[in-house]
Amino acid sequence: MSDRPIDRALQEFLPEAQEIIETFNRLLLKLDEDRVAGRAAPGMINEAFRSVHTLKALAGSVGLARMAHLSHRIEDLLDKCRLDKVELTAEVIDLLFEAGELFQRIAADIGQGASSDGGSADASGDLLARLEGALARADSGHRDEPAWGSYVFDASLLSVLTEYEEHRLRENVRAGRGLYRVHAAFDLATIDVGLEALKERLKPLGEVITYLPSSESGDPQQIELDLIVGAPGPESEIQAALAGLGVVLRAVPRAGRSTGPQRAPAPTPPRGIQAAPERPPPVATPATPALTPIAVAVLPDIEVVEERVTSIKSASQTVRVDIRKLDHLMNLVGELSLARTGIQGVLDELKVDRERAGLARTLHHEARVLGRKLDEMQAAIIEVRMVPLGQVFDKLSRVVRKISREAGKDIRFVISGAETELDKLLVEELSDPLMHMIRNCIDHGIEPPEVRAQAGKPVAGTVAIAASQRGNHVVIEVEDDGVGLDEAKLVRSAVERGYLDEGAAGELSRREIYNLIFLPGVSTKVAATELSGRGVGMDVVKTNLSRLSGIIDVESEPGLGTRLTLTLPITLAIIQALVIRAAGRTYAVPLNSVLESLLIQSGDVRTIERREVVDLRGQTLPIVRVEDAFRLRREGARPKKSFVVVVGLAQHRVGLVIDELIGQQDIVIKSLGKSLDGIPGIAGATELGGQQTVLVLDVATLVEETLGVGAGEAAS
Amino acid sequence: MSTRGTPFGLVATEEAWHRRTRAEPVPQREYLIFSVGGEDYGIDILRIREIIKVRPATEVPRVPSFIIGVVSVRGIVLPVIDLRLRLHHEPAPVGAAARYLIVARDDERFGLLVDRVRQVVRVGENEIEAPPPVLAGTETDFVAGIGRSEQRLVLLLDLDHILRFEVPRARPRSAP
Repeated sequence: MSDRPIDRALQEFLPEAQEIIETFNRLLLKLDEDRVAGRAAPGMINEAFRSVHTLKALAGSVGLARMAHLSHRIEDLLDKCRLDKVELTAEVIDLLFEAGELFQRIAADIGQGASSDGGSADASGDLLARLEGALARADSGHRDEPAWGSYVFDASLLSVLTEYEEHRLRENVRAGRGLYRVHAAFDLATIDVGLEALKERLKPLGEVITYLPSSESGDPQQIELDLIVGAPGPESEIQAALAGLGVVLRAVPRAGRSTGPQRAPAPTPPRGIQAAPERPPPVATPATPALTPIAVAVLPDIEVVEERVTSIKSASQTVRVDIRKLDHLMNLVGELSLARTGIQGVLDELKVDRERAGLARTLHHEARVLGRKLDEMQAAIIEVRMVPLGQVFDKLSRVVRKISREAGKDIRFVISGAETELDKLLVEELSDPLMHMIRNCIDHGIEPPEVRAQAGKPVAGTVAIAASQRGNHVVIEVEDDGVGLDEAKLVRSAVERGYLDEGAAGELSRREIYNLIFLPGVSTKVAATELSGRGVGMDVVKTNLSRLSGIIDVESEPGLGTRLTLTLPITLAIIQALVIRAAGRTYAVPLNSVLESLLIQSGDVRTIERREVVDLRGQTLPIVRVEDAFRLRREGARPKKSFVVVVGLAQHRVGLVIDELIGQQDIVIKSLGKSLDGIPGIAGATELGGQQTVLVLDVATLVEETLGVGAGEAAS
Repeated sequence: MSTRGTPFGLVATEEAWHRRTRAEPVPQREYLIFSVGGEDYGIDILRIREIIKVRPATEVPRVPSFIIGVVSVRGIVLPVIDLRLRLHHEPAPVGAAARYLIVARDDERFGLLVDRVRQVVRVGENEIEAPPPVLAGTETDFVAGIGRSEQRLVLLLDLDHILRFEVPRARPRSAP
């Protein structure tokens, strides 16, 4: 199936399209922010225009007709926006956002195996209709005054400007900015980088309206460009900023100020096909015909032009890689580590043999180098898998915007720690739980504006998301300044659902009460009177997180807000583990959840409320015996001395009682296969060498099972 | 002229191929025959990836008793099912002739512990009968049909049914 060329093309299309759609959506967010602040940058609209233009071509190439058509019309709309023919209103932005979401949905459908964009036919038809409406309302009035005001350009230059460039030229002139021509020469091989650097240098000073190949070129190894720049500052400022770049800055002469006929260099047509004139060359001459330079359209030497465009090297240095390939690499490194363990075994035997002591030393040295390099390789692969959480946070901002509009609430979304890095796989899996959490914050946490005003709170509610790295974990906090959790409603809901009886309810601590929201069906909503069924239950959020070895905690202050704290490992791909033995079996415990281990005598164990506990420096530590948790049959009696491995996630602590500590080892966790995946307490299996396969314990579920989720225990 | 890669695998010459196709127009399937608990069973050979010697399996808690545990085969960890228990035979110690049949369902692998691997037989599709409603033992559910091969009866197993079982899950696979 997947070998059909069309499917292959779609698969290749997907990551690229997703990247473009994400960029597009990010630009929209920024545009919206800027619009609200009253300073929408034309460059930003242009970037959005360009991204959707690329998407159109891409969609067309794999036969996604609807997506192509939709992007075409979005492109038209953005074109009108950048030409100021359509004002960038909230409604227009909404349309654009909707398109962004629809693009994403189509991409998701294809990711799930759809071979066409037919699934979104209704949605795209509907959106198209509204787009046509917006386009029809567009101001058809076209400003006819010359774009260049009193500046003196030669006609051949003007003839190659695109409509947009001409518009920007006009806007710059209208704003009273000075126009400059920057002549720069670039090496053929590095033009992409050089041009970008120059543009960056110019950006803070003004706007690069266009750049055109210059005909003044001599060296065939070089491309010379003329950049037309509009800048408000004085010429000296620009001169200073460009110092050292080896470019020539000239002010574009103005009519009436000129000292004579200009020999303005006639540019060759721009390289990009996109920049082909959209209208016939304007024959209109500048205001003072007497000073019109003679339009000398020097036809470019075709051969030279061809030579100049031979460098189509892209400026991008990145490669997109399927994450499964990285998984495979990681597995290979894991197996190499096993081979190294084998070598170590041979080495140990060699060491005993006195006659081969020299050989043993050499091998020992080589094995150490091999080991070090393997460790480096492992670290490098893990690093490749890491992506900043900002990727998810961007998506969340869009969700916040959408939900807050739906809910009629004004929300300030505050992001911090977006640069915190996490395994790509985890980042992907996190987006849905985070989205549900934020939706809950807005739907149920933040009060309606009038209620907030009455309570003396700022009318705009705040939802904040903050990420930070702590050792091998990443902590993500989602916080709102809303109404807080209603303890009474939670308890009532849990009692109604049969998780608690009234008596037990009275004995719950505040934390235990808050933890009730993670039980299926328990909610603070009063059934039937309030809008329900929109938010996904927190139980689903919790189980999805525990699949990622994550744990979630909730804190709340009535009237002040709620905070959810997620604690996740940085990566699931390779971990350090403590190898232990219990009841004759060997297990691996992820070291990132091990706090310490202690030796205990059987007399140290006490029983409190039918739970076994030990004292840990004055604190009571609940313990669980691995053999009890897994109902293992033990040959012979329990040893008098056992070890307690104190494991913890977030603020929860449990002692795992085991027989023996074997040692520490890097392991690759492997799935037990779909049929056995997800057994409580088991995270997977790993190989320890010598064909020994052992299970990896899932500390998160063991901790939860031992402590019970507050009410689960209280009800029993 | 290649002697390999024909649909029946063992056909040596072109001539033999024609003779065979003329003589036996009925579609044929190959089954691997093995014994478990004194009975002979067959599984479509196309479902069998390899046959390996028994190696110690790692016990997995909280699973049905017929799952012996997991083993790692060429880097893939897979569950091993004791067919004796799965087919409701009496448990018995693992003998020297016992083997793991590695079978596939989609892209997932499983091991099946059998007492002895016997042979590969060809059964014409017209020689397969539906299982009788009353079959000795309680294994009826797992038998897809009864085949005749060289005067012997072979119980053809419904592999998908055998591989279908439930284990407790702490984590739902996806949000609703």
